[in-house]
Amino acid sequence: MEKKKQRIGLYICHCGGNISDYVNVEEIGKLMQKEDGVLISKDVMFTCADSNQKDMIQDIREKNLDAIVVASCSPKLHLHTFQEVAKRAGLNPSNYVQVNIREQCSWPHSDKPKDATMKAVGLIQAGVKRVAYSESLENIEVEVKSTVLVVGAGISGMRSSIELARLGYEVYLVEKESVVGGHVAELEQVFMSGQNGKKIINDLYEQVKSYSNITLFTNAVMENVSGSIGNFSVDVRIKPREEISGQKEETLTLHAGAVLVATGFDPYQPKEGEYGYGTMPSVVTLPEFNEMIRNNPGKLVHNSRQIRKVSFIYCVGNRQNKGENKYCSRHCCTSTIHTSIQIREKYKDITSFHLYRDIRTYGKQEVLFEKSSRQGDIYIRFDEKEPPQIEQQGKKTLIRVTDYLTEKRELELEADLVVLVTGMEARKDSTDISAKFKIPIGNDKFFNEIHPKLKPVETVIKGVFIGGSCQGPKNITESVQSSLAATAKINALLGSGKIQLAPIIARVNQDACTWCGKCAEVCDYDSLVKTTAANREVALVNRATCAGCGICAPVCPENAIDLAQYTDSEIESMIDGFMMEIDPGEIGKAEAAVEKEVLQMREYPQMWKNILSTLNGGKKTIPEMAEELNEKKELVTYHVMTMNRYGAVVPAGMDEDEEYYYYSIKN
Amino acid sequence: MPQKEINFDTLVIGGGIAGQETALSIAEMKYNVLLVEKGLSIGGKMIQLSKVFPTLDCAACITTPKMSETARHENISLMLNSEIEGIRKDDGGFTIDVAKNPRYINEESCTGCGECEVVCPEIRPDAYNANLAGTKVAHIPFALANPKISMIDRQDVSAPCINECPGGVKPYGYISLVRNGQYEDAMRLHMEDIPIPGSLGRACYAPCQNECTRASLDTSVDIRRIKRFFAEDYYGKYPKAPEVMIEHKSGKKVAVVGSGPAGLTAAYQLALKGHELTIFEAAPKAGGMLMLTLPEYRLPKHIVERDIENITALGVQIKVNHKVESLTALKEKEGFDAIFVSVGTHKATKLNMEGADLDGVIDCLDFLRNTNIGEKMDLTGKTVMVIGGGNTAIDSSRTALRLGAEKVIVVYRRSRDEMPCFAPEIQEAEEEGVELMILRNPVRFIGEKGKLKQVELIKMKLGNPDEQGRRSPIPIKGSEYIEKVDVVIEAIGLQPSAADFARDVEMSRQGTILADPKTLQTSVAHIFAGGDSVTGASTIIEAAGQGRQAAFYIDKFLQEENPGNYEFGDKLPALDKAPVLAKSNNRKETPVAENLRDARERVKDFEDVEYTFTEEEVLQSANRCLDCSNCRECHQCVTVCTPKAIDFSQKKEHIQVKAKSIVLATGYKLFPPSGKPDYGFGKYPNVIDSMQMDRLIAPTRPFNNVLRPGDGKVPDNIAYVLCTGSRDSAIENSACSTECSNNPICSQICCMYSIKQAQLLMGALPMADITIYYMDIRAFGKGYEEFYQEAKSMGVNFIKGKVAKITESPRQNGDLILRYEDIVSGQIKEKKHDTVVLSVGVVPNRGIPDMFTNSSLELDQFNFVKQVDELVRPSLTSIDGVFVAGASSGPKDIPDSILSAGCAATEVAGYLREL
Amino acid sequence: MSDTKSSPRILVFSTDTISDPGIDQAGQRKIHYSPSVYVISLPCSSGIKPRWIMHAFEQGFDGVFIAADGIECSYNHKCAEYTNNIIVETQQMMKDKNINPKRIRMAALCSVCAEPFVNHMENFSRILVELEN
Repeated sequence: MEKKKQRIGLYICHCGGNISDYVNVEEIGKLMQKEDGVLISKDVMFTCADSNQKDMIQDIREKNLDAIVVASCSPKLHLHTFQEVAKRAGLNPSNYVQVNIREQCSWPHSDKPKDATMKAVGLIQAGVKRVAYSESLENIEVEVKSTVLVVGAGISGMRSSIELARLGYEVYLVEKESVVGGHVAELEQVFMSGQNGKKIINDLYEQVKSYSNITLFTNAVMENVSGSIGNFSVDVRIKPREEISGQKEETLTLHAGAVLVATGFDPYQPKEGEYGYGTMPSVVTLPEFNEMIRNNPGKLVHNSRQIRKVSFIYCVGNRQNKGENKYCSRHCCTSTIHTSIQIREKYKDITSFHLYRDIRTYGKQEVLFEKSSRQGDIYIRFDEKEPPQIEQQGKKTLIRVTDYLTEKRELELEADLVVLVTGMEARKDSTDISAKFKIPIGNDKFFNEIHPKLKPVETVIKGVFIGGSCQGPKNITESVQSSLAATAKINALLGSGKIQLAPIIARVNQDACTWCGKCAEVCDYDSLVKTTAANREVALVNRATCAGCGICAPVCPENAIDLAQYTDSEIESMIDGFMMEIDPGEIGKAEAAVEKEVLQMREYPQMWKNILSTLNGGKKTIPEMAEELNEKKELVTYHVMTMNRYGAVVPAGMDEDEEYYYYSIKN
Repeated sequence: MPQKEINFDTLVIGGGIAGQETALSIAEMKYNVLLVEKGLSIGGKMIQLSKVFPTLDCAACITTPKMSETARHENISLMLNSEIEGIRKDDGGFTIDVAKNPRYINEESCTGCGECEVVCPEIRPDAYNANLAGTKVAHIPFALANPKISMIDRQDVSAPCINECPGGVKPYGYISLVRNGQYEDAMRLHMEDIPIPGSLGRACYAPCQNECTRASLDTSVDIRRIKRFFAEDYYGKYPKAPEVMIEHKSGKKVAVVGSGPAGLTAAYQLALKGHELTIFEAAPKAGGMLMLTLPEYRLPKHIVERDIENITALGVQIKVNHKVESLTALKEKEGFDAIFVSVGTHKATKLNMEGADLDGVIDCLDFLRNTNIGEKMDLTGKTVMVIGGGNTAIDSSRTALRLGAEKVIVVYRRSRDEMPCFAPEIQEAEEEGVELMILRNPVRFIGEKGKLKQVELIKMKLGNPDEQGRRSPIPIKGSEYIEKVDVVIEAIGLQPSAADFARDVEMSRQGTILADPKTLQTSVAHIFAGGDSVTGASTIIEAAGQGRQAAFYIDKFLQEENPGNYEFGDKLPALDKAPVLAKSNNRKETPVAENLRDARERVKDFEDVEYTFTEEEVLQSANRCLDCSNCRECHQCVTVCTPKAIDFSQKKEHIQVKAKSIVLATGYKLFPPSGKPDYGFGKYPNVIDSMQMDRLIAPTRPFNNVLRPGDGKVPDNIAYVLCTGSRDSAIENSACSTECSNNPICSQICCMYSIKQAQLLMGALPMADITIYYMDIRAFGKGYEEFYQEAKSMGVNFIKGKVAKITESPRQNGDLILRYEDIVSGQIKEKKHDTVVLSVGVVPNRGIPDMFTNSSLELDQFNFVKQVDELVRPSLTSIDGVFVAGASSGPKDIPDSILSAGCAATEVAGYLREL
Repeated sequence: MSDTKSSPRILVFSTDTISDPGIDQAGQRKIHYSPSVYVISLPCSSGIKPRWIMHAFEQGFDGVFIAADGIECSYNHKCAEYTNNIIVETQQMMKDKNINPKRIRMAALCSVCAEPFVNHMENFSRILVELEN
């Protein structure tokens, strides 16, 4: 343990009266001069003022202070200010503690200045004791490789690879199929822009090839993954391509600073018999139907029969309230409607029936829905409870459905082709990928980000990112957006060849550790690993991946783990500081030096005066006040609420029917 | 945050969640970013929300850490309260003009303590709380604002009375203080600007009153007499001015030459700044025109003396009987660091005509000055003719009456309307018996034995208006006639008495000192000049205003700054009176009756003509104020702010920066619900929009609970109308013009936020029924469908139906009747709810392309920023180097906005690398 | 006599980004609570060691309150569960030392929960006073 700090500088802030009106900072300042280890104790009008910052720097340098404590406002406001002061003076910023005697003392206890002063003494003593045990911590520096492994060469992986290459990284793009492009390549026309999917992919493929710093591996699968942020090692097994004889299978070990997983999705495959799939020849899935369109340039023919009526059944394998896939696949409504518009344009006399639950053409995609309705597509809404029934009557395929758009009429439709709108599912091999990279999987089987809003492309494994639809259903734009968002994070991480990590991490006392593994169990970040030290199995913290939450510390039965800056001596000395008894006589008269008149609003708006006159010591509801004043109720509400906010009135219970609150004058 | 750097890698426009995320992502990639946000805090709409779907985590808890990260990131510079005025694409990237609006708070000094908000007396609707309740004009924008500092919401206007005052005094401010009995505060407010309220309360011509909004309704508030009241009330309490200790001393010496209103005010302001002041006065008494020229009955000299004490109480030395001969000597011999010349116009203009040197022809200044210093002429039984139509002429005429004159005639060459004297004084003079002889001009004075006996006059007519719009007087040939007169007082004009200083500084041909109109600096850097010796004869308040202005620039000069770099003053343009008048409902209120002594009585002595208001009268008078402007400028906030962070003199700053790339993260607007008049928003108070409901259910809510705004009832039957202003090609309504007409697209977020609110309401109001009227539920994102199903299982009632019309229940209990087409039954139905929430859609933020002055930013057909390669490179716009993030390119929920921000950041990095 | 002596002493563990700002807001809005409430802020509530809580009791605190992150925790989605485990473990230790397990409480508080925090403190104080009687 580091030497206990003995040359502490303490600065107590008046905050221009915000603190000193209630807390006797001058007396505390004097009292603290006697405290062990405190070399300087000052009270200052504004500790954050430039002049005081300069004084602090001078004090630190001239008096050779080894720690500083500032007792002022919330650390949320000025923690970084004073950390910078420490840094400028050449003091390690972790030898600084901020004590919050404003938001957590003078303000909430402004009604009891004597107690506020006593509490402030406790808080400041705690801060002084804590800083005495503070350690000089340095940022953790990790060398990182400027190489990125991108898993999956669909549109997300390719776009990300291109951007990474453009930013100067060495990129390994690994694709398990023999060709690149994923599902986008299967689309003749892509919704919204109408571009050809194959062409998009070809263009991207040309770009990938043009970058010498992208190495593309097809027919390649992940094997072993080891290492951590900055230096992952991944074994990739490359299967020989069938068309090239004599090629041998080989396994390469790739080293990468970061990994982007962009493995995409699998289309839902209906079970045999689900809506007649696999049992009735005229039932196909949407991807199969799209392939038919691609292969039928002039006439749409299936089983040598020309198709004139197509029925789409939506939400197949999706939104199964009772079933396995509870989620919505997000893109399929638009995709289907786009297909319906496409066939109308391509084959003319064809009618589409849409058997749907909710049409989810969100955003600008709505215009496609409008267009399809205008072109004469027929929409029939069914409920999950009463799904359409498909029957084969000879050559005819009949659909029976209850239409919720027309008073639940039972309809019977004949269809030349039934297209099952199948959604997305997590890749079959995603559990395997998840196991290798330790990416958590959600209830929907897709990969889980840390937090959908705070860290949407990060996984709990530092350095491993997810992009595109492997995280959840997405359309093309959304997939690209997410993989490029991940690209930005990767660039930030690897950009300078080194990463600086905050030093607040868990630390294991290996002498005390007996390796029970409990710490490793609770760590989401896989940062505690077993190692051997002095012939004993002990835990080791991966300094690079530790998030600094401290979750491992309490579970250790040997108390062998602590979190930097939150050690037992720091926390326990704070508790001691809070509870140190002081004689109130010692800080002179404990009341604040001058009892300032409590600030208040000196003039109320006329309406407030009127409202208060109706209350007249009693309580009333808003309608009662409004009636008495002959004013509009909404106006009275507005003012009463504003008065409540500024403490002129307070709620005083509810009326008998619990419909309205009573309000009364405060105090 | 001081904005010093001007070259940036990227400019991000918009500080909402997308803008913050973009800025952070780019900053983390080691590029330096300027984030410009028009609001007072970063945070965007997200920080207004209660919780966010589908995880129901607290929006504040998610956003605030991101906000503080953005605010303190070393590679991000923030410009809040700022607008882009123009973006020019050039070789080096982009040149951007940014206007930073004042918040009237010194950002570095404010500690966010909120005391200004406590004392501020004015309430305005709180935009953060969707106008459901009020907030103070001085306020911290919202509890979670970053930076957490205050602002004064002046809304870019001053009250007309404040705007009009040449002295920079705040009539509305002191009227509101007086109205509340805060007389000393009113005095303190006045003393911030001008230290002679006693004199002004008596003798100011009160230009503020001409501009008073109430004057357009009935008659102006009696502003001057209100001032007279509080000044005299204060002087009654403090017959001697309390000594003021100036803590900070600058060590600089300033000489003021002349102790009139301009000199006194300048000395006062400069002394407050810690400079050492000496006033040199040639006359035996200080006060200039106040003391020497204005008659006692208008301005008692003890009032002037007490006013002057306000200045000497600061330690200012006044040396009377001390005529300064050389300004150069003041610096070189006496060591003054700066000099302010304010010697006034103590020279009367003479009529150079026949008989002008006769005994009995005197000039007004000598006449008035002698009267004031006790050398009164005896005019008993005499006929006195005063030549001229200004204030000095009328003052001379009334003084002559008081000196016993039997007949006093004021001769003026134009008509009465053209008389420069203030109308009430002319009227008072006439009441006292002064005769007006208009459209006359003297031709010659006729005497006997050197003594005046008669005046020959000529009749005049009015010709065409001259350059100033005044009709010029033309003599009527042959109309000459003779009047018998004993004394003529010439009062045709006053001239500067600064001729002595022609050796020191440059002068005009008219004999005024030449000074820069902005800084009042003369041709010699350390010499400033102001007041009548620069402007020519003016008024007390104008001269005092010049003194205040000069003090500002002299102080800058003494700090070794270039005065020209600073803008003086704290007033804003006058507000538009029309809305105030409309709000007043044309309610006329009679002013306090004229309160003058009887004319026959008052001519007998030099005592006050006018009485001081009683307290009752002053309150009645002050209560006639129509409360024009947003901020009263009562400066109560200023007095409680210990770190002295409030600065009413802040100005809009125009800053030019350069950036190599730009990201548009300007977000979206919510559809204005008044755009669907059939839904009754604005008409029925219990029809609210979804942002209002989000505020009501947020922990930082404006109400004490979830209550409907119409009458504070706890709602128990709430309806949501989805697709309000979305998926609606038929919106055609002049009420919202282009803002919301024709919005065929789906807004992408409304279904989910409505379901979120429904779930939260089920928790907050377990007994309430909640019905959601919808077309399709668009629960498409990760976890959304599950969230929707959860809401259903909690008991939220979903009705597939199109709402046609909302009306208020005839029972007048504030409940609402929804008329809708039930799609499942195919019937038109009606249902009663006690509160209706309109789930308003997303509309584009217009005006973004206008920022670009020499390049064209394309929009899509819905007026969102066009993504030129939507599928493959979603962040690109039609301008190379300009990228788009978040909802600027179309509706997006929070996760999608964040992802698009990251995507834009990557594109920016690639772009910058290839430059 | 000051209130610090008469009202129960409560040690609150809060979290840097979520509950501590909520407690700050009570102060910002000048909502009063007992001055014998002391706060220690940590990165995450799942990092509180039982021995610290026991130390607080030994030093004379009457109650310990954990203002946990709940679902907003940005470290660990099981934060609430782990924090709860800590309480269960501590309560066992408290029983061994004859300290009433009701002297420890936990609730999720978010960054705008000023009023809920004050309410929690009031209720907890009441409970602690009742335990004394």
